[in-house]
Formats: sequence, structure tokens, C-alpha cells
Amino acid sequence: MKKALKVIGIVLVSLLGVVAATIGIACWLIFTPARLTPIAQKAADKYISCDTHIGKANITLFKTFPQLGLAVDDVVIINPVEGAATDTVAAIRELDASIDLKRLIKTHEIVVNGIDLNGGKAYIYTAADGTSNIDIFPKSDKEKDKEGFDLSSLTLDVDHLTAQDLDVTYCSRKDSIDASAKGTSLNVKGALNKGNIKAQAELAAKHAMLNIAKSEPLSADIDGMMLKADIDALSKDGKADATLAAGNIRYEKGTVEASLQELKADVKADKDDTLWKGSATINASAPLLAVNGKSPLNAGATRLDLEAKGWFDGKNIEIEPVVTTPDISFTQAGTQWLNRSDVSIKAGVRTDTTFRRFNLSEGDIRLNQFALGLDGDIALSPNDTIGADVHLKTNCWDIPALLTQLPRSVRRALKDVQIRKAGATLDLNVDGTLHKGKLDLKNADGTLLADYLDVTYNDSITVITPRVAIGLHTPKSRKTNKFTEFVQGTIASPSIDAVLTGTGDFSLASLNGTYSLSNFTDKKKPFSALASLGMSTLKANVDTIVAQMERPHIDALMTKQKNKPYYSATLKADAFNGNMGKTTKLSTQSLAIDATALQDKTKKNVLDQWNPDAQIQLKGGHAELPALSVPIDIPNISLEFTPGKFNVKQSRIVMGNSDFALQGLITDLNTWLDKEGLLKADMTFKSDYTDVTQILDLVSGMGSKPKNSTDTAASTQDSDDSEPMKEDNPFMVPEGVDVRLRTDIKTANWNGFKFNNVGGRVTCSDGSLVAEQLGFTSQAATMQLTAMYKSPRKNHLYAGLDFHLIDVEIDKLIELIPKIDSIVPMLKEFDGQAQFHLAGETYMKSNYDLKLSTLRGAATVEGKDLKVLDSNTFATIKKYLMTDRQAENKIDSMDVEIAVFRDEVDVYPFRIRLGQYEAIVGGRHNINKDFDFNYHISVTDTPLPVRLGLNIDGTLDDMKFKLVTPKYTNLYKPEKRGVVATRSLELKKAINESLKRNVKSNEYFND
Amino acid sequence: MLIATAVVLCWSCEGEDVVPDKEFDVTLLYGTWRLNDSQLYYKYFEDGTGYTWDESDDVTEEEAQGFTWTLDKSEMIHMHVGMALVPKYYIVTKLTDTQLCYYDAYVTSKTYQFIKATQP
Repeated sequence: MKKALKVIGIVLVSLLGVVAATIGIACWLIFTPARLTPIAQKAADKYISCDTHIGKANITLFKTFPQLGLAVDDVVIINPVEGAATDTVAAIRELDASIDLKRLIKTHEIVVNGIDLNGGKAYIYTAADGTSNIDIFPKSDKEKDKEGFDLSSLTLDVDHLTAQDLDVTYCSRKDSIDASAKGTSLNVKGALNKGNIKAQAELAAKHAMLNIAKSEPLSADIDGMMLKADIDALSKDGKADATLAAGNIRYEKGTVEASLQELKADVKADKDDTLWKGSATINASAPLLAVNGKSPLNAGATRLDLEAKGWFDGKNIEIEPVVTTPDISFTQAGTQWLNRSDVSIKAGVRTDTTFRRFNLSEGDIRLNQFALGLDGDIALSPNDTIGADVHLKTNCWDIPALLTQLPRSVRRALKDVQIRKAGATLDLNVDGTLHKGKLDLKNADGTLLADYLDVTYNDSITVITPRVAIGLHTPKSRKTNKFTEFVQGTIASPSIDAVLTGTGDFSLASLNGTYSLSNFTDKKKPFSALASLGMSTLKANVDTIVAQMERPHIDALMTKQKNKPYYSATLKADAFNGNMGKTTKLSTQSLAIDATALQDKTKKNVLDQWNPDAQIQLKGGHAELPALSVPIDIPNISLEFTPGKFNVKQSRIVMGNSDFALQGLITDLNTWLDKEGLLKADMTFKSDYTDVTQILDLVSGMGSKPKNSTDTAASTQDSDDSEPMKEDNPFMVPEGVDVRLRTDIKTANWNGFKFNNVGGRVTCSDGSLVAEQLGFTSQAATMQLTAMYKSPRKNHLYAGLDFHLIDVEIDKLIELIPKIDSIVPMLKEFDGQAQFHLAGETYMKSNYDLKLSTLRGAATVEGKDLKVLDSNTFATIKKYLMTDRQAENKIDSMDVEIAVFRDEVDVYPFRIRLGQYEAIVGGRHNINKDFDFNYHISVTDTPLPVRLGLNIDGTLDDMKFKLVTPKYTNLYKPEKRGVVATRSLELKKAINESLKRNVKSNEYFND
Repeated sequence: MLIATAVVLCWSCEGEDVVPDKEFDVTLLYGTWRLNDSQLYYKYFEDGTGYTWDESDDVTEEEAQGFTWTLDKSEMIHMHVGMALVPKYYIVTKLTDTQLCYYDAYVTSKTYQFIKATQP
């Protein structure tokens, strides 16, 4: 274009020269067209190397008065160039040149001070090899042209230069340019002298177009263009006003298309010494922009208005543009981001002539009612780094209203989020650089304030808060013990309420906290976050559960360790209160939880995936449960959970009259969850005082289901058929666990009996619950108990025991175990100390009724110096056996072995000595409805000459005595006794030995 | 009257303690026996072990309780082993391939009659 202007300038100057020469000749030699025309033609031939034709040349005086005029009609310049559309370079219908007549007369100078062109065409063509059809000047001029054309050295004083109705076409095959201007008019008046310009110019064209066919084709056209300029530019002062008006403008380059229907631009500038001040107004109607391609973009508005003012002092530039576009619509890739929105941009921009540093002041960007204020500095570095130190501040954005402005696709993506009310205000200072997409924040400080928030997510979580303030600032890189902090901030809210549909309500009050984030723009380092939150209360309302935590404080960390997600959290609370319904209450005076987790997504089970590690400390716990008639107090408990292991480090629990401490390890959680092994526990149960009776009463029936339960558990019919069917829910021993509990109870109370130093082991291993060799002492006896309970199925429950009472008072024994009276009914007849050993087992139905066919048992009672209590039965026996009525009712020794098989209780023959009398007693009774029995007493030693036998049979209510021949006379006479007697003694001995086999020494009980 | 009865009893013979001297083919015992008119079963194995169960008490054979046994002439002793050692002492009166009869040596009036349910 610059070259084209240069060429046009050369042509104009040349034409002026031709005109001046023609006028000169006309003035001094020939004044008639007939004479002037050949002369002009000759002169043209001299200055123009190609063919020229001049129709008519004439001198005019009156047309250009007071100037002398030369009128030339039908000037045609012909210079054929191969490839050109025509050989005519220019065809001018009328050309009038005004010559300063005064200077001509006075100084004989020919000064052309005005040229008027009217009608004509110009065609400028450059071939691909650079040959141009305007190379029409003699060689000397060409050489001059090669030296360059310096407009600054040009001195012009143009009274007027006008052109009317010109069509100009430019075609360069070399540069692939086609340009044209139709109906062009020009009116220039002014002077150019040593760089000083004083000119007024008007340029108009009915239609102009430009096409550049390069790799990215460009085409532009404009209708009805009018440019007015008034320039007064002196070396120190100056001013310039320019007005541009145009009709339709269309621009297309590559994939970019732009158009507008009407354009009006006014530019005014004043120069004062070195300071330029100016203003500009641009108004465009129906501006459109389209960028085609993979992600097509379309933007359009009814108007685009720009008002700007500014100044330039030679070094610095400041402009204050105000851009407004009402009803703008913007679509990208089918997504409509703006729909008839009002957008305005206002800012004060100051920069220098390097255009690398910009200062923004009072920036204001608005989209409808949403405003973003912008101030600060922006610097562009040669290495494509953008530096910014800016302050952003929004007005209060109505988020629901903002969402309506967002495209449907975005709203669809947020369809699970229902924001009923939310106002957000952002106030942010940012100082950082951006280089190749990488953000490097030096400093950022700001606050995001939500004035009110009422949001529902997924129709399930609703959060309501009157106010949340989130502060943010990036400190200098500060390393915590976990990561380098990049962003640090605060969070505060007077209250937050959350509703989880179907779950419950949660709320917190007076939230204050801090958080920090790692550099989330650094993709090479894992993202980490740290939060420390404190609040006055935290409440939860779930179903019938109401819980409240006082002054909880939570510290939480999220980072990566060994390239795996790592989480840690601590919770401390002054107090916790929880109620479930009206009957269940839980409270603590203090609660502390310290937990970590290292996530490994490759693992299957939950514990392996998270590797949790937790420390839990609770003090002043208090629980009231509907199933328990007494509260449970937990003065303190300390738990530690590590992967696969649960450690009850310390605990103290008070339940009713009992207090105890549980301590120990629960292990193999992982293998248990993987169903590859047993859950193992090794615990100790220490207690100063355990009220066993109360605990059993408390836990009795726990876990049983209501009678109207639809559970298909085994049911049993009561013996009385008229009784309704009852559902049973017996205790089922957990399977897959191996729990060992060591007991250390200083004093245990059971049914009023106090047992001391209860020590032993209780195990629950894969379906069996075993109390193993529990040893304890009481006022009545020293005891040892092994008990076993198994639940292979609901209607087949196993119970077994091995029970030893050393030196027990018989009356206390019966009091302790009332059922012993059923097994050894004669025991209640004695008083004194005895050793009692009992072992047995049975299966039970789901209601714990015995399955008698499975009952097996054995017992032995050994006593010395026992007193036989006075009773009718004993008196009757003494009468039948004719013993001395005055004889002391004292038994020197007694050794009873008893075997229980199904409903049969066999009392193996045992010897008792009563003074001078000795007898052997044996027999059987049945544990059936009638409790019938069949006993025999043989008198083996008596001062009397006769030794009698006595059968006692019948039932307890109907006891029958019958003197018979004594059966056991020879029982202790090996040489005389029979086979059955011998065998009975052997079996009696076997029972005795088997029962005593597991008895521990006295030291065991005293340890 | 009491004295007269006593004198008579004193001079009468002591109660008998005699076991029939009979031999039985122990191999006939192997297998499962069911007590007449009941669902009580005993199963004897060659190695001197066995188990018993009563289906009327909702006990299956898989849930049967074990014992060891000996048969010496007519004396059969069951030693039920579990938490307690419980002996039962019987005198066999009949053992065929289909029938087993014995009585309780301790309470001789209590007799038992079994029929063979299955062979070993």
C-alpha cells in the first residue's frame, strides 16, 4: 500500500509538471486549443515514456479566476503490460490546473496551486515479475525514483486539489492484491512545508474493496465511505480533527468474518508543545464477528459505542476508553454464552511507546448487573511472560441470576446444584506472572464473601448460611512439616445449616478457621491442603438422634505420601451430648480423635485401602441406654487404631455397681475382612468390683427381637400346647473371631456371694465361647470354673462346664447353685464343709430348654465331719435301720460320685459313718416330671447283731421305705464283692479322677 | 414287727451280684441301632468308639455325641466323653444281627431293646 501511495504521488506530481508546462506554452506562445493541444501532447510525450493522448487543451481565465487555468480534456495514458486487464493506465475526462497569474506576471514563475479532476478511471497493474504499467516516466525519473521518494522533503502549497467521480483500480499479481475504489471524490486544501502540515481534506468513495489472496486470504469492502480531516500540525502546536463515516463494512480474513452496517468515528487531537491530547468517538451499528473453524464463534450486537480520551507526551500514552455494547449475543461452538446482554468496559489505561507496561485504573467491566472492577499494572516481557499486579473487585453477584446468563450446557452440567439464593462478592489482589500457561503467583490477597447461601445438591444435601467469608492470601513460600504452602486463607461464618435428605440435619455456629493449599498450578507436585476449623457448637439431628458437640476444633490435612493420597485429622471437643429418642443418652466431657489414612486404591478391602491410624481419647463419658436400667459412666478411655490392629490402651468403665477396665489388642482385622482368617483379640478385664448378678440382669434379653418380629428364627412350642408360639432369639456366638479375655476381678458379686481374685481366661473362638479355668475365692469356697457355650444353630445350643468348689459350705453351695439339689437331693440333709466337683454338658433348644437326651454330667462331693440335719426323712431312716436315736448326727466322712446321663442321675454307692454305725448309700433318681427315685442303704457296721438294708423309692411327695436284704455289704470287701460292685467302684474312681484332673493348686487361687 | 423283719432279713441271702457268663459276637454290634419305638440311635464302630443321638430331641446324626465302648462277655460299658466322663454299665442279654438287648447293671429293672438300623 505504501508503494501504491508513492506511485500515486509520483503520478500527481508528474501531472502537475505536465500541466505547468502546458500552461506555460499556452501563455507564452499559443492560446488556442488547436495550437495548445499538440503542444501539450508533445510535452506529455517528453515527460511520459508511454503513449499518451490528449483530447483538447485550452487556457481558461474566467473558470479559474483570479488564477490562470489550463483545462485538458480526455487525457489518456496507455501502457500495455502483459497480463493487465487493459492497456489504459488512466483516462481522465477533465483536468483543470490553476496557475498563480500574479506570480507568473511578476516573477515569471509557473506555480500550480490547484488541480481539479472530474471523471475518469485509473488502472494500476503490477505483473508477477514486478513489471508495472505505471513505469511511464523517462529513465532519469526512474533513477530518481530508485533513489526513493521522500515525502518529508516535499513542499506543497495546494490551494485546492479536487477529484470527482474517479474509479481507481489497483491490481498486483506480484503481491496478489486487488483493490478498487468506485465513485471516488477528493477535496484537499493545504500546505506541506518541512514537515509542517496545514490541510483540510475530504475523501469519499461510493464503494471500495481490497482483496489479498495469500495463504490466509483477506477481503474487505466498504460502502459510502466519507473521511474528513482537518490537520494543523506545526512543529510545536497542532490539532487534528478527523471524521470517518461509512455504510456497510465487511472484512474477511481466513476464518474471521466481521461486518457492521454503519460506522461513524470522530477523532480530535490537540498538540501543545510535545503533549498531544485527544478524544475519539466511534459508533457502529449491528457489528458482527464470526470465527469459523472447529470451535466456531459468533458475536453480534445492535450497537458498539466507544468513547475515549487520552493524551500522549511522546513517551507515555494514556487513554480512557468506554466501550458499551447493548444487546450483545455471543456463541461459541454452539454454546450461547451471552444472549442480548448489556456489556460495557471502562478503564483508564496508561502505557509508553514500548507498549509493554500498562497501568489500569478505575477499570469497570459489566455484564448486565454483574460488575468487575479492575485496577493494577500489567507488564509484557520479551520472553512472552505476562506479569500482573491487579486488584479485582466485584459487586454483589446474584448467583441464581448469574446462572440464568450461563449457557444451557453449563446449566445442564450444574443441574444437580439448585441455588435458590446466593450473593457473592470477590475482592482480590493478585501479583504474579503467566508464562506459557504456567501461573506463578507472588502474592494474592482477597476475600470471597457469600452474603447468603441456600443451595441444594442432588436433591439430597441442602446448605443454608447467612454469611460465609473466605479469605485468601499467598504468603511467601512457607514450608509446613507436610508441604510448601502456596495459598493461605481464612474461613468464617456465623452459622451453617445442612440438611441431608433422608439422613438428618446438621448445623454449626461461629465457624472460624484457616486453610492452606499447595501450589495447585504445579502439576509436578501433588496437591495438598491443610485446614484448621473451630466452632462454638456442632449439632446433628439424625432420625431420633440429637447430638451436639461443644467447641469442637478440627485440624485436617490432605496430601500425598509415597505417591498415595494421605489424610490426617484431629478432632478435639470440650463436650459431646447425644440423645437417641427419650431414653438413650450419651455425653462426654471431652473428646479427642487423632486420625490418619494412607489410601491405596489397589487394595480390595476398605481397611487395606485406607490404612487408617487413629487415636481416640474420651473423658467423662456417660451413657444411658433403654436396655440398661443403670447408666454407664466412662471416666476415661484411650483407643488406638492402626492398620489391622485396634489397641484399647486404657479404659475405665462404671456400669451400675460394677467398675472395670478393658485393655488389650484386637488384631488381624484385614485378614478377617478379607475372609481369610479370624479376627483376633487379646484383652484384659480388670475390675475392683463386678456385680455379676446385676450385669447378667442388665444384659439379659439384650438383642432379642420384639415378639411381633417377622424373623424366621427357630421357634419352640411351650410344653403347654395352649401357649402361643414364641419366637426365640438365643445368643449366637460370633464366628470368624478369636477373642481372648483375661479376667482380673478383685471382687465379684453373684447372687449375694462375693468372689475374690477372679482370674482366668475367657475366649470366643470361631463359634465357641469359653471361660477357661476361672479361679476365684469367696467366703464360702475357693472355686474354679471352666465354661463353654457354642451355638452351631439356633435350636441346638451347647453349654458345658467344669466347676470346682474347694472347701465349700454345703448350705452355701446349695444357695449358690440351687440346681444342685436336683442332682444330689440328699445333700441338703448335710451341714458342713465339702469339696464339690461338677462337670457336664448339654445341648439346649432355642429357648434354652435342655435337650435331655444330650445331658451328660458327673459330680463328686467329698466331706468330713458333716452334720446330718434333723429331718423326717433322716428320722425315718434311723428308725428303719434301728440306729441309736441318741447317736450324734455327724458323719465322719462322705465320698459321693454322681453321674448324670440323660434324665438318669446315678449316685454311686458311697460310705458314710455315723458314730458306731456305717452305711453304704447308692441309687438313682430321674430328672423327670415325677422326680421318681430308687435308693438303697446298706448298714455295714452296727453294734446291733443285724445288718439291714433299706430301699427308699417313690417320689419326694410319696416316699416309700422298705427293709430289704442289704446290697452293699461286701462292697468294700474285695475278696467277697461281686462283678457289678467291682465295676461300680472302678467307674466311681474313674469319675472322681476325671473330675479332679483339672483342679488347680491352692497357689493358683491365691496368686 | 420291725425287729422280726430285721431278723429274717439278716439271715436271708445278700442281694445277688452275678453277671451272666455269656459270650457274644462283638462284630454283630458294629453299625447303627435304634431303640424300639423311639428315635434314639446308637452307632458302634469297630475301633471301640461310637456316638448316639435322639432325633426326637432335634439332634441329627452329624450332631451326635461320642462315647467309647467295650463288650466283655455280657458286660458292656459306655464311657461318654465330653466335659464330663460319664460311664454307663450294661449287661447284654441278646445280640444278633438284628437285635440287641441289655439291661442297666445299676438299675437292673431297666431294660433296652434295639433293632439294627444300618450295617456298619
